[in-house]
Amino acid sequence: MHALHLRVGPISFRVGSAWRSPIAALRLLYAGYPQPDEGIATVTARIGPPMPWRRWIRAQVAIAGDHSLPDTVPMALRHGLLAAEMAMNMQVALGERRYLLLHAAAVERGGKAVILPGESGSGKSTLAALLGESGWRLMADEFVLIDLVSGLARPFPRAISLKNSAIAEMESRIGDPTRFGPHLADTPKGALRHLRPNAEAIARMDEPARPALILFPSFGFDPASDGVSRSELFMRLTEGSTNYVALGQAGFEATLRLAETVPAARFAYPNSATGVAIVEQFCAEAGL
Amino acid sequence: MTARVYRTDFPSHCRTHPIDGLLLVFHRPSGTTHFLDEPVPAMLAELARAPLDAAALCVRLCERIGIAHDEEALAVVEARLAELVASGLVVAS
Repeated sequence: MHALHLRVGPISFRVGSAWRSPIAALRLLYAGYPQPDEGIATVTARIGPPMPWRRWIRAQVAIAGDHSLPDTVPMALRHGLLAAEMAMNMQVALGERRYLLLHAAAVERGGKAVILPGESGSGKSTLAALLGESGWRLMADEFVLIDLVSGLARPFPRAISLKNSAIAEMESRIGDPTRFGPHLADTPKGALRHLRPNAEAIARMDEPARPALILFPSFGFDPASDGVSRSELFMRLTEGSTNYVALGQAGFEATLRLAETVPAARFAYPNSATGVAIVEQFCAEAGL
Repeated sequence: MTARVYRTDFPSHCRTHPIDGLLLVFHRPSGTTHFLDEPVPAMLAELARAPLDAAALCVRLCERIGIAHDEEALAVVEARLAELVASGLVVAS
């Protein structure tokens, strides 16, 4: 078994693979990330063949680890890096109990966090990647971790999953090619390329921020924006949390605190430049 | 046939919070979260005082808001009670 150990914010991973290549790609992508505290990983993610012969014959990758879901569809070995990333995500989504997990991206400036919840395709990753290269600190691309006691957002700066047109956009803005993972074509999510957050995001991965604004983006529409009521915000946050139910009343209280204290809005945007401008406008109006 | 009697552990086993004119409820025994709109919070408040059948509950609710307790009102109360039983906030016996 090939393995990689790394820490991302409060979560330490032990990633195992039956093949060398996905771990080698992961090692390059996560260059500069710290090791688990005292060498102890809190989460194990594994990728391996769904059947023994699939290790060599038309190799296929299945994702597993401490927690597993039935009926996950195996992928081709050439998408092994994506499988490893998905295995890491799955362990966090199913196993995390110390923080409320929001399916969202987040960026920080001046100690205040802007949280961008959204489904795949909403553009949250691209917006966060762009903001993270233009005066904001990237805190998260996929999961925002809300401390159940303090209500602060803890950074979880995993590699950013760029998809389709976002790949060329970020390639044109970032001069350092070593921050990018390999091009992955024809994945279940389309064309995909991972981007390592910049050095500041990694160096400050232990600095939390106070949630100050929650914006729900929708990519691919004419520019528009609208407020989100407290009750709708509560409902949408619970819908976008993978562990709200498992946390019981602690999850309820953390979600309610966000809904009652953090202003929220939704906005639609046709392209990244407009999306970034709308986010900046919201932030200016909120005094961020 | 004896009418079904409805009872609830609301609000003693619940965390409640008013929000946007609704009542947000976390029901500790089931771990479920509910958004409740009127007349449901009033129904739960009445059932919390004493278990009631649908007709008696309907009378109390109608008196509370000053409307006639007719068949239409009873149909609404019975429908809401069925939803509350399904959600676990009310038990019928």
